Amino acid sequence: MSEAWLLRQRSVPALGVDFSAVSPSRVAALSADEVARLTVPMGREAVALGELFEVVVRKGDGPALRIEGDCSRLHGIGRGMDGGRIVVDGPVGDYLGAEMTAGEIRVDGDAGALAACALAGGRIEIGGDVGDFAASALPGAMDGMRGGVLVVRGSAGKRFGDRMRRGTAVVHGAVGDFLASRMVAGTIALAGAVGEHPGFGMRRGTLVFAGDRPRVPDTFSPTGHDIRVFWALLARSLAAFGAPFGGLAGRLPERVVGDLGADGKGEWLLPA
Amino acid sequence: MSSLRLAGGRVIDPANPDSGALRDVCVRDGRIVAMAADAPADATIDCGGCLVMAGGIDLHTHIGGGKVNLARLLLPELQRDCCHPDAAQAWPARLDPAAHVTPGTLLTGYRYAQMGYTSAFEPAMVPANARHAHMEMGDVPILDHGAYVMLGSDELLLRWMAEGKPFEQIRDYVGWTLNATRALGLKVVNPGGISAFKFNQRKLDVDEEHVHWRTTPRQILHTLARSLVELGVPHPLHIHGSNLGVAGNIESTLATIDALEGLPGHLTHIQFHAYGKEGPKKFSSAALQLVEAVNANPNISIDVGQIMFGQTVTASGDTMRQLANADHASPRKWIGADIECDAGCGVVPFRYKEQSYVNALQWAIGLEIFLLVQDPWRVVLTTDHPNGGPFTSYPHLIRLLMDREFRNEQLARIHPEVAEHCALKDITRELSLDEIAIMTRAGPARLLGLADRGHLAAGAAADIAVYRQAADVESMFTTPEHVFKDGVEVARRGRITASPVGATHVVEPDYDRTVEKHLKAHHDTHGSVRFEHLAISRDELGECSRCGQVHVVPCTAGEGA
Ligand SMILES: [Zn+2]
Repeated sequence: MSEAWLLRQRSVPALGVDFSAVSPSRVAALSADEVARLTVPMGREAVALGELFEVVVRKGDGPALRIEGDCSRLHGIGRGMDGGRIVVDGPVGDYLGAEMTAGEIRVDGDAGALAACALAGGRIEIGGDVGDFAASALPGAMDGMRGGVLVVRGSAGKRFGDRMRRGTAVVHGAVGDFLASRMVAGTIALAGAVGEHPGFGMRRGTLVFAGDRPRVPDTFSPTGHDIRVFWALLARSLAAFGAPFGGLAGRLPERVVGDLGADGKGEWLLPA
Repeated sequence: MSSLRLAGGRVIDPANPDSGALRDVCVRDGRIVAMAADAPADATIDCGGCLVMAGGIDLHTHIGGGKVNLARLLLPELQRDCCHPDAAQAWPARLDPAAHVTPGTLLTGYRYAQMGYTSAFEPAMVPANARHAHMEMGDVPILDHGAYVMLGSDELLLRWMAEGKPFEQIRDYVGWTLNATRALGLKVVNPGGISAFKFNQRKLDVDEEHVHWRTTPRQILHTLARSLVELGVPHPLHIHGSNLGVAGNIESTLATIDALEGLPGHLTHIQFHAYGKEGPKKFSSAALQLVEAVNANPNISIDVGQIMFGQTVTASGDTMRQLANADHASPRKWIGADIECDAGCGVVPFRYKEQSYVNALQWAIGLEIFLLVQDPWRVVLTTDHPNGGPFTSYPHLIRLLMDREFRNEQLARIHPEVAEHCALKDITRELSLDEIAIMTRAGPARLLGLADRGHLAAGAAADIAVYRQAADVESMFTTPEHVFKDGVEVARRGRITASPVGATHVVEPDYDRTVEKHLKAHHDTHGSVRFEHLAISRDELGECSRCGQVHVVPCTAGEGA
């Protein structure tokens, strides 16, 4: 059985810290001393974890890391993570769980920009709000989120799901402008208000608007398909994400497709 | 100031007598000096077993100006590996390795210095972007720099040519432009073609008329080349010819040489302009025809623009050709832009593949040109960084040219039809160290009029690279033992040891100032910037370039004309 670690913050770091090297699987095999001596980049320098955190051993049932404190300057928490579990009690910085392939991250607080970008597998749950470009692509990359699950309990910023290719992303609160821009595939379910230009350049993929019904842009058009069977399956899987998605099965949606300015095969499901 | 003796190295200095001899090279106050063998020096470095050469000079490398930034913005993924966690503890210059294609200013300076290069020149400065270009080059540490300003598709030149204005007025416009933008030379890109593109022309042959202005590239080339001769600017007109990358463009290239009527011209990234249309794919090497023309026309110099296999990005003012290339973008994204109605810009990422027939042939054509031109003083080693490949590939390229066995190994890996039929496979020539030193140092210095660079005679700037002699010249040229810039050691075995500010090289040709009232009239009605604000003063240039020295390369008006 591997150790689990609790990192209790000593003080908020003065500069941004790249935390991506500290993954559950990497620290699982280390002693408390070794964990404290691990260095992470802070600004242009390197800082030992022990300087930022009090390192406490806990009993665990797998590689796990719990971080307590204001982590809004810790960027790349869980970045590239390939298994195990990270729980953060507090806000986190940018690139939360970016490029993650497996495992689980839970944040009881807000997350910065680019959370879950290029996510390939695993599950990320953010209790608070998330910044811009969540569930999207790494800057400059052509492919966005490509697998896994992102759940946002609060609201999300702009460009949520930009270039998304696969996986499921769920937002309980509002989302900002350009939701699902350039989306290629995957599923996004929303329970709150939607900003300007949703589905801009959307080629394929599915958006479910369980809450506010957005204005349908001129570049999306209705289809007369019978989607009852598909809807029953989708509604059942979305129900697992909590109350706002609970009663969907009984609300057979209107279906429109677009963006006709791109491939035009993206679908919006607008439950009755 | 202190003196330094580099003792007992083999001095490769083809610009001066006795290249290849074992001797000391001595430095005082940033200059090479003659010192008696027994005269004491403050410091002596044993260079036994080493080659001592002048610092490398890249005469065509895109290191400043708007399109370089656009390329960086377009391809942030190429910088991403720089953020590797282990890199944080390292000296910033060691941040590695994927960023070579679109390095930032610091990395550009460090990487060049680490290879023993001490000067680099930006070939495509748009007048409207001159301030930016100087600031960006000024931000590049260590290297001496300078830029060639672009004319030839600008509204005013085409208008004046169309209106039949006297040649002298146009010449003085060229003179004013060189002064105002603090340029070292003049570049023309797809003469007239960037403008013609905006009038919906998708190609422009050398004798084809611009649909609106009715000028031809031939007229533009001759007018600009003649202007430079009359202004006495040392660097010949820097020509990015018509029809870049098009099968059969050797016709345009030969017509370009013909258009110069014996006037000096430097044909840049000539590899991209040496294509025939023979063979099953209607795309063939015209290296032989090109080389024949270069050998026969002593007024012509070239740089090659060798392609290197792998990821890079092409950044060019040639919007017309970049639109055509955009379909081949890899990754599939690109930028095309107009600049102030006076120039263009196209940034297209590209991956050259060994198994692509076209790319393999381009690779072979570049090498054929290097190996077939008789006079190395008229051939400069470039990859047109980053268009053909990043400058960090120079050591590999040098090995391809110096080591036939190595070259044949690489040949065996490229597209089989190319490997089987190209002239390259039968070329046995291996370039000598002297020839490499000419193509990378002495030649470009001479072509730019930099009398005290590119060689190691007393009085020259102490820009020096010391390489530990090795059988594998690629590794030898990758990591010199010592690199000195103006006598200061800036790199030692791949580690940056100092980061001085380089000088800006400019020309200040004389011209008739009465042209300024015509220029002002044009800018009052057509310009987006007040005429008075266009010119960069000496003082402002200093501010732009972090107070680096300004080195004025003398013009010799009247003498050559
Ligand atoms: Zn170029």
